[in-house]
Amino acid sequence: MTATAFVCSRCGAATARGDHFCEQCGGRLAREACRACGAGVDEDGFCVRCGVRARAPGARLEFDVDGAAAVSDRGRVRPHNEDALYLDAGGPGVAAVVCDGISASTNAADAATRAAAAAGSVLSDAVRGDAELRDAMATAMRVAQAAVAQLAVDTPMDPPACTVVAAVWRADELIVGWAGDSRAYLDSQQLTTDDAEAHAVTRWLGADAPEVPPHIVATAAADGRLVLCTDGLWNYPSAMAELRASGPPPVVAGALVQRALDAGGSDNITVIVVELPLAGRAAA
Amino acid sequence: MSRFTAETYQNEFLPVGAEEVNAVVTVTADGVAGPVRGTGAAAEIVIIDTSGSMGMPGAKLRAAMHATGVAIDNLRDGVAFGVIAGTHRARAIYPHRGLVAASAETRASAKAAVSELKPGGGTAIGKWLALANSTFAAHEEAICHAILLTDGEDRDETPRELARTLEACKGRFQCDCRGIGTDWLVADLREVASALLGTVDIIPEPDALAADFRAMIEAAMSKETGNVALRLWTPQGAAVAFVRQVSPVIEDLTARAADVAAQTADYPTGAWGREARDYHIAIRVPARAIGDEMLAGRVSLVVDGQVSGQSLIRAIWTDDERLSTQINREVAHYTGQAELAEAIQEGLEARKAGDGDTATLKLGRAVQLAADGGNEATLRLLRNVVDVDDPVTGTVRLRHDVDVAEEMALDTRSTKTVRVSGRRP
Repeated sequence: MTATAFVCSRCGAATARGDHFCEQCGGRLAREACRACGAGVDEDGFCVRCGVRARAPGARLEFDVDGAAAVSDRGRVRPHNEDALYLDAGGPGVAAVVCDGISASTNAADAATRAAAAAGSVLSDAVRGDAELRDAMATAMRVAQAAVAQLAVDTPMDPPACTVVAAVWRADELIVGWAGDSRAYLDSQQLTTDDAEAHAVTRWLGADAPEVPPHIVATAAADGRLVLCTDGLWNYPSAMAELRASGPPPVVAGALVQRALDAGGSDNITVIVVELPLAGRAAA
Repeated sequence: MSRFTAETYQNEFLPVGAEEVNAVVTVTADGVAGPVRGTGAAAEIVIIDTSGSMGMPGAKLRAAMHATGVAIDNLRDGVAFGVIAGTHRARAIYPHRGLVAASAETRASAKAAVSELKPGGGTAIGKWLALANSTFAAHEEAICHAILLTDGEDRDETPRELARTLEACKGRFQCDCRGIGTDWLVADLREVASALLGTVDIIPEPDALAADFRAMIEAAMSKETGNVALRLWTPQGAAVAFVRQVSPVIEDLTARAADVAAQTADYPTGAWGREARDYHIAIRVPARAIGDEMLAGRVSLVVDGQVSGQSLIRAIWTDDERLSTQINREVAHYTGQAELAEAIQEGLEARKAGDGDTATLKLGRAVQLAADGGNEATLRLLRNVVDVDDPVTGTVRLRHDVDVAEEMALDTRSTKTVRVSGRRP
């Protein structure tokens, strides 16, 4: 991948992607930079130099914290982004959730947003407290299912639905839960198995979801690169080849999504990348 | 000061590989409809031709003197004003130096001075404008406006001298030009009006002059904001193909670009009252991949360095032909209006040069475009020059009994456009 640089909006100095402060003037750097040329982004979401759209409302979400990054992109074909994510890597561990709204249902984006927020807040509390992570994951899945099912009150004939993949990590314990075909990887090892047959998901969250308990697996993991993603990413083998690329999480997340976009971007693309253990909060 | 709003009309969807983005941007000053008396400082100079030909017949000069009186009467109290008499030289007839504030006494004195005018001498329009320019110099804070009336060709100076003077006057004041009779050249006055952001028209009959002068003064007095510039930002690697005012009249602004920064240029638009104007902007951008969106232009209005009102011109590349093949209604309409003005001017040119075939072709096309665009006034003027067999196909025959004044009216008014029907009142 070509090295894309941020440009400091105060002094114009080039900086590495992922830097939070300008090395020349010390100014805080805008999170966003034009993907085409690296210049800054104006208030309408266009690059101030080359004019290319850097951000559309809801089209792309991009953020990073120390040791973790997330990108959610509408892709090149879908009119809306119906993926959602939750990421908390600011505490003693990690709580991460990725959901993919099932487009065949109404309000798919709402379903994904509600599920990610509901599961995410349960996992966040668990990481910051002393709850058993496996129990917390079971609760998170139940709460997410309830949140999406509740949306069906308005559209009982066509209930909103989404997939979910969630990960919670503290010290050397990693718990992953999922329903549907969104995936989790540790380095290049896939931790999840797809609930899908012939391109149709067989498990999901929603009022009409099959009554089976969600998958929950535990892994001992003191270090490694944790990746959660939707099928908009893993459907492109060329994108998945970037899983082991070197670089900090924002660079890797950006590269993964860019590969999927380059390959066609036929679906919404969402990815969370976390480098374990978290910088400065190494596990014992 | 006026508040400006800008609104873009375009089809932002481009086919794969396309590099030209077209948009019509409507700029509106304030939301209030109808003319109002302005409140800002204003300065006004009436320049009347007193060359020998104005006395042949005497009715021309008499009408000019009367119309100048009407113009003076319609000035707002306190507006700085003056009158210049033009021949092969320029003479300030009231006041003799500078400008005076309009009041009952100064209006009476000015009209008395005007009533003394006698015809005699040649025509050097540049000298008249140069005197107006130096007189306006003491009124830089005011919205400066002049009316220029002539009846003959600009014989007593070279085209280069006139061009040099116009260059010096640009941006200092605006000037509306009127030709009385049929012995003046449309090209001369169009050059002046275009450089000084004014209008040009023919007054074939002396009787009609006073009403026209009153209308020009009322328009000038309604201006509230002077020196407004249209600012255009374009992305790196883009080129502005043209910036063209398309309503109320066509005026190509492309060559007037003044760079204010890399990727940003200002186009002077003069003074504004409560009005709306349309601009057709075409920008060439490097083509991008399907699905990519680009900001091809950001239009804003600038007054005294302050930006007010802005609108975006966008480009989105798509392989969906249902989207990319639609031509925006406003863009299509004004493309036709520009072609109409060009067809009239080229048709009349060919007619004068004795090239009947080209004239028939061009004027036929003009009839077709005028009928299609809803330019009823232009169509009426065209019928003075050609007999129309079929306006839909543009089948016309040149008339041989053409009145010179009517031909000149068609020429001067060829750039007057109509707006898209049904869009706005």
